[in-house]
Amino acid sequence: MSRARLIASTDLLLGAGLLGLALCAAVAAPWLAPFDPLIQDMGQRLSPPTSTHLLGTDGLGRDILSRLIYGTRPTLGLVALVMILTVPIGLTIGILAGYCGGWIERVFMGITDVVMAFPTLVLALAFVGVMGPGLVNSAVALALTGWPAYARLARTETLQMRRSDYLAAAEMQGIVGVRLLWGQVMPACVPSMRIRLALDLAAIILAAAGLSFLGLGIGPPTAEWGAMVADGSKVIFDQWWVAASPGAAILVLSLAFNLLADGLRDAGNRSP
Amino acid sequence: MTQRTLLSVRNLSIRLSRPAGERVIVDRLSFAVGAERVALVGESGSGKSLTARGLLGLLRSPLSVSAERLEFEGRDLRAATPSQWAALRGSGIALILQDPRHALNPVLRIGRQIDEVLRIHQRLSSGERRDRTAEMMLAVGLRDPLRIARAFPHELSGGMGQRVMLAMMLVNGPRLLVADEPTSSLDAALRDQVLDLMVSLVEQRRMGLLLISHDLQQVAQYCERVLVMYRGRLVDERRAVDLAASDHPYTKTLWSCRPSGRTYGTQLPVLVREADERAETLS
Amino acid sequence: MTAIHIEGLSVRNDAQKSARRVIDALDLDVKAGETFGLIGPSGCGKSTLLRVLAGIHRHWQGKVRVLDETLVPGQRFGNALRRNVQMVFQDPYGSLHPLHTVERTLREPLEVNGVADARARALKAIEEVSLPPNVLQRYPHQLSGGQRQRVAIARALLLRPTVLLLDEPTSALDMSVQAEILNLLNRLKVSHSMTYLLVSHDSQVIAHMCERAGFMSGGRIEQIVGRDQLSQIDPDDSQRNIP
Repeated sequence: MSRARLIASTDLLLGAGLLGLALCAAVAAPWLAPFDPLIQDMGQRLSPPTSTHLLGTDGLGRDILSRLIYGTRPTLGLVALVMILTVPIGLTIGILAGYCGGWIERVFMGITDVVMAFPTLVLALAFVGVMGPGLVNSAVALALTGWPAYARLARTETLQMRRSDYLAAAEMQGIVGVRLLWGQVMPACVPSMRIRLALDLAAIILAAAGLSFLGLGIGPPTAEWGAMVADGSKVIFDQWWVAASPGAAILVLSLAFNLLADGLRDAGNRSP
Repeated sequence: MTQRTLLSVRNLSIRLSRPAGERVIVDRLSFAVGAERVALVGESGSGKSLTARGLLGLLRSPLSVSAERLEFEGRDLRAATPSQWAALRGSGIALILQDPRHALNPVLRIGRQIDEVLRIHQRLSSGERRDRTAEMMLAVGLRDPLRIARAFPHELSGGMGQRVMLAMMLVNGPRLLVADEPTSSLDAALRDQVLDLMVSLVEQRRMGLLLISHDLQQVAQYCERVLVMYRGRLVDERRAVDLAASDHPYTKTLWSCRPSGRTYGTQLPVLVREADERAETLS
Repeated sequence: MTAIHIEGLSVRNDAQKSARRVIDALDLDVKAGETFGLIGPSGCGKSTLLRVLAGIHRHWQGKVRVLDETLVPGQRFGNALRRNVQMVFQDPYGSLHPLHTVERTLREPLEVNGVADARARALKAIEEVSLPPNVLQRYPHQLSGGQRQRVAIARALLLRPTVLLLDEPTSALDMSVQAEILNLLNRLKVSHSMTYLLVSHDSQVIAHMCERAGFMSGGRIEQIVGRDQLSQIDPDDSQRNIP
């Protein structure tokens, strides 16, 4: 196998593998976690990693490893929710803007530019501040700020396609309207979307962690990595493991998504 | 006048290695090119373009070249290092491709690109380089060298782009010009002009020309000898004047398949293809 | 019977009034059942003319009648005309959707137009252009240039058009493959009783295929020639352009 191919498949495999691991943890949490993530044991609080508590305990005596494993659920759940909300909005706006042109394009792209001009986290904070904290609200907030990039990608791809012969041919066959946009234009937008998405997912995790860190994400006592880092930061100088473990988990999952994006892009390059 | 052999090839093969196994794309080609005009003709998928690139050491893994003999002006090229190849390309052998836009850097002006090519291969002062550039551009029929030197590639028409490519490739005085379908992307009107130019330049400088094409009748007009390739093998070798009388079935069909005013109302002769033939695109 | 009647056609590049006129006061009549050729240098407007007749370029003025139906500028074709006028594009690499299988490319137009038993019709279309049935499962990148163009022709014939517009259908193909495609087009024209409007920059192709041909330059038809002149175009002539 050529070197390039080997590297690409390594990226893809590693990324997919790590993601798979996280998914397994989320699904099998009740069986994998040695302890209940919510049970407090004040006698054991802030104890370093031992054979019982493999990653130690946090400020309320809860097992960090278990909280880490259970923490995959809200994290992955959030990511999935954001994805489901962001992509369709971005695609629709982008494709319509690119295909219809004229004032529709100008209005849509204007809206896109305005939303894009806001710093993502600040806008998300504002939304959450108004709507209240929680998983769904965080997801909605992040989605409402994240769609512009996809809209722009979709519009670019659509503009390129507009001149193509196969679109003209489809029109000549009587394929018009929604059927045209859904069946012919959208599939062409997908490859670049995929890559962007994989990259964005890493950013979403970090944003969600940021929200939790500020106390505006998923509320306590739910185990969520960002919140765990926030708790751990209070005791970081003496009991570093409380923040280090969830921090490392965030790092690894972000890495997984980045590797996935790289691998997909390389795999995509080879297929015509 | 004895003709010196510029390029000598014996049993050249090109292989593609894939996870499923190795495939032979070009199978034991043997031919020689002197200071003459030779054509390598075949359809898409016959391996002719790969051969051209193989001759210039431009193929990378998973493609590999092997040959019993691959010599240019007596030098064995089989073990040439990348820097030896770099020195050879442009000054010994030059390659012209189908689409000039792919060979020219879109963000640099033409003059700068030709100048760079001169700097790589020769030691000349900047004034001498300017003169050579202008001289070369006039030689290829670009009548306003100063204006064109300042232009960018996208400002040129297809025919002008091809002339610029010719100028760039010939400015260092190579002895062999390999042209890979140099006129396929041009209108019929321009094709003859560009080929006429190429041939006259080659003759003036007593160079060898290896013209790669899928158009048998076109090469018959411009070349002295024709090599016919089919699916990686050399199937026929003739002098151009003898092409019409060739008795090889492939050559015969290739020769007579061209449409014209006289073939109106008839079905043109076609090749009988193998049952499951399909082109494999190698990117 | 006249299949295509054009009077005083003017076409701009796009809807703006300031856009350049690609076609200027053009007149043309194409008889039913003939193959009419259009030849000219790049940029003379021949492809645009085809696109106007195909209904995909809608910014034009003048009078155009195709198969006894008057075209209205700015409007898409109605159903009947949509079926009767089809086009084969130049670039076999660009006219088939890269992400659709051949079967999908052939079935969709049939389904959209309410033709029953689309799968069988798609299969028949493939056979008509001498391609094996396994081509249906392939993607365009898995086919050769000649095979792609055959699929494009099969697609154009799905709705049984009466007028076929051909935009340089063989320019991107090898000489030998071109011969096959030209043969196929000639056979199909007879079996389907069609009228062809063929655009090419190659005078040899025009001379082989057409009863009459028009020379376009600067957005107009300068001259129309018939068989007497076309039959004299010979590959041995060094001058390939007709004066």
